Amino acid sequence: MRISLEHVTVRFPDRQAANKEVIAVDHVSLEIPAGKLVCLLGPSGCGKSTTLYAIAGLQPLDEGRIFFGENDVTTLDATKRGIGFVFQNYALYPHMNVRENISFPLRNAKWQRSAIQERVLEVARIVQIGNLLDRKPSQLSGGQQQRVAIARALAKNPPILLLDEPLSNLDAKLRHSTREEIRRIQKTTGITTIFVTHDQEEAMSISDEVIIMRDGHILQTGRPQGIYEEPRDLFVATFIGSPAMNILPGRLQEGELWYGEYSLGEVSLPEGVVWLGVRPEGLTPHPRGEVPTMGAIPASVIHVELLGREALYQLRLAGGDGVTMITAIDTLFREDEEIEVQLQMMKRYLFADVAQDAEQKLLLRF
Amino acid sequence: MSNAGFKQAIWYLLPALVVMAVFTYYPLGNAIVQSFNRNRSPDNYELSLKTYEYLINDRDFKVALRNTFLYTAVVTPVSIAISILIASMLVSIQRLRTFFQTIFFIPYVTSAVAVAFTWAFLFNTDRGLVNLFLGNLFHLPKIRWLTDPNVANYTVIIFGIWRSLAFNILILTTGMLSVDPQYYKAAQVDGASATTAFVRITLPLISPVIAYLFTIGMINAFKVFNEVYTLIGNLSRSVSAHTLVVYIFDAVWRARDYSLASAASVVLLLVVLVLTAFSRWVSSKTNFYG
Ligand SMILES: Nc1ncnc2c1ncn2[C@@H]1O[C@H](COP(=O)(O)OP(=O)(O)OP(=O)(O)O)[C@@H](O)[C@H]1O
Ligand SMILES: [Mg+2]
Repeated sequence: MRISLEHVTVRFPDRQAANKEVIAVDHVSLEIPAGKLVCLLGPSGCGKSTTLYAIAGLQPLDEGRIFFGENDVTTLDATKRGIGFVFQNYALYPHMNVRENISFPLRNAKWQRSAIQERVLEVARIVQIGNLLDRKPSQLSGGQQQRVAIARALAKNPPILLLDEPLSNLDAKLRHSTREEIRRIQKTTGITTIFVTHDQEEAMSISDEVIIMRDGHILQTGRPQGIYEEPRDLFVATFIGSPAMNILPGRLQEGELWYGEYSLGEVSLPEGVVWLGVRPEGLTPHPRGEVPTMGAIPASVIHVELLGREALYQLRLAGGDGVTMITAIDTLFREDEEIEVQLQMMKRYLFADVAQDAEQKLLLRF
Repeated sequence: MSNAGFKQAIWYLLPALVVMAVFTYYPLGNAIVQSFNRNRSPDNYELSLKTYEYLINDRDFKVALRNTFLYTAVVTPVSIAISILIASMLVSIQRLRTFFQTIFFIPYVTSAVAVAFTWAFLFNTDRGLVNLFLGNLFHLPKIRWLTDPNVANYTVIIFGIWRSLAFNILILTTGMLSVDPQYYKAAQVDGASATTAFVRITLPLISPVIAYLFTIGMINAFKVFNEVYTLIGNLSRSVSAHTLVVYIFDAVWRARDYSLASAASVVLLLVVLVLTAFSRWVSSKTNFYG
């Protein structure tokens, strides 16, 4: 089912100052197409959980409207919205065993006893917990609890599934396998899913679309690769991608872009201070020759890390800035070696300085 | 525990152990010894079962036992049930919760004697507010709350329920407030009505608290004295409203029969021991976690 939010706003009284307010969600409008998996991504405290709670009906709105399909559900009680919700800490009922936890929503919906039994087995099979049905939550591992929480959310066949950082309590390996599993379940059931996370890699890997939030606002929406390649501003650029994009101080002068005393080519933008961004894989290393290469910046290798298929370098540029570089393993440089790096075409980004533009928008990709 | 650890621990425990030995275990042992004394006074000791023989044939003692069981069987569950209702309403209000909590807790910190005087006045047959109220509103005949042998029992029970509400409400509100609100959010999403959430989530989650209140409530109810003695006083015996502890008190202070008082105390001790063991067994069976 399609979900749309129109100017949704949620305010909380400030915990410190009595008569002030925190705007947790600030006039958020968005549209989530039916059957897609969308990630809500942003730093801690940006309003992700609050947005999810608002969609679930657990958080009343101060302004705005919410639609499921064509229906306005803004004032509909949470008990009647019929959505599935996986909470950040799972919130499995501790006194009920797995079977009772999964049947709880079905019993509330007045299903027949036999139908409940059948359905419990069915969802247990989907999330592969068929052998755990008689255990209490305290007897389950984090990953198992998480799957029970998903099973409980899926049991009543909801048209919408909301997941609030469901993987944050799992170790790296389990995280990886469960997120694949969530993706698989979502694909097989075709359920419209919103997945909240502050882990950008997680968001990139499983979603059809990513929504990036900050301070209660939506900054950018789009396909993960699209956002990676065309970040709207400096914040999104550094937030998306791991290791993060390198940011260097740049200067536009006489039709050329300068990093310190090094010219990086012609750019026809008004003169002034800018930020130059380049992703770790956008740097090409060369051995240092007698004559410096045009458009290259001298650098020294501080640290090399071999990651199997590729090498991760920490470099110090001649201007003093530290940068990260990722290259294929075949051109290896040693620590303390003096090299040169070139910034690849179309992997260079220019962002406005705060003085010109508070949002530091992307000026140019070249 | 290592030997050194034991030595150190014993020094910390010693003061409490000494106090308990002097004020609890010595009198307890003494009472057991005295209960087998043929004579009333401890100065004159003669081993025999005569006192117990007298006790089980004493009509007054049987009445006391019956009253105490009735009191316990009614006051404990009724008080807990009412407290659960009031506590659930208390936790559902946002503003002024502390204010109302305090109001409900005040009876607990006021002296039973002072409160009983007020109640004795309320239940006065001719001038009491209760009869005035019932008479004017429902045209009921005057009830002799404190002097009718068929009623006095229940007056004490009503007073006992009221007295024990404060503590129960306090513990229950604390218990209910400590339930993670996330469970209620989950229950809402799962389509549970407020009643369903209360019955299937709140109650099971606070069941250890309820079990605790049952244990404490039963033990306290068995030892009930103030509520009876201050409300009905010496009359309690003549209107058959006396309880075990009243019986013991009278045996000492009116009859000066230390042997009889000791024997009755031993019976009380045994009953409380059995009840405690039973309620511990019940609460171990109703452990919903794990
Ligand atoms: N009940 C509340 N009362 C007051 N302020 C709140 C409340 N809930 C959230 N907030 C505030 O609203 C803002 C958004 O909170 P929210 O929980 O939505 O963030 P989040 O993006 O989910 O963060 P995280 O990644 O840490 O879970 C925060 O500044 C938070 O302090
Ligand atoms: Mg959150």
